[in-house]
Amino acid sequence: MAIHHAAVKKSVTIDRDLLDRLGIERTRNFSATVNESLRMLAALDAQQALVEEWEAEHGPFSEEELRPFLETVLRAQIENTMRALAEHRAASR
Amino acid sequence: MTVDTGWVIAAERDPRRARLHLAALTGLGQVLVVSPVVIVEARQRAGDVGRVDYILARLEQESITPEDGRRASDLLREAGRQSGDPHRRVHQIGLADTLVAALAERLCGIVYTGDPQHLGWLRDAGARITVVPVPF
Repeated sequence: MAIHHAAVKKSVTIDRDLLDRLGIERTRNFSATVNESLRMLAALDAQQALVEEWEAEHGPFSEEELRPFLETVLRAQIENTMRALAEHRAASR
Repeated sequence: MTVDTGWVIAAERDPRRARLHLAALTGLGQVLVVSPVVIVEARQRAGDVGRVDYILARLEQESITPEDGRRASDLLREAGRQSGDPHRRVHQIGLADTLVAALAERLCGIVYTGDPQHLGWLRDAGARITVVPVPF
């Protein structure tokens, strides 16, 4: 059985040029696009809250502490993108 | 980004470095995702369930679909076939890591893991994932 989340209708105003720049797949089901975008923002807010709560109690992280973690995340992103590109190329041969 | 149970347990043991990892991910606009199997395993293995629950409740959660189950089954079967002892290999990897791999494949492909060996076997079996050891 599928899980259904309660939904509410909201009236929003969107910049016309922003709407025009969206791909057709994103505008075909606009509610799904909005939900997906908001879900991402909510997840980022929740992660940021975990960090801010910690820093409020223990003091802010220094740049030296953060740098190796940023490097790890970026390296993972690069490796993942290269893997996906290689798979895409192999599939299209 | 998907995480396996190892990330959650590492976060329980070293909350400061887990927050540093989260700060880096968030700063670069990346979201960590946990699956139901990770929630079960993490709560089972946790020294302090409350600390694990605190983190789990704030991470994005994603359901496992029947398609994930079918994909996980194929990956596990192939990983077993590639080893000299399929039965042993299947048990070594386990259901949870296989479902994590299937979910990671459906999402962005990156999985942060405390056990790169298991996810590596699944990648070698055809999982379209990038296996990254937990960086703390």
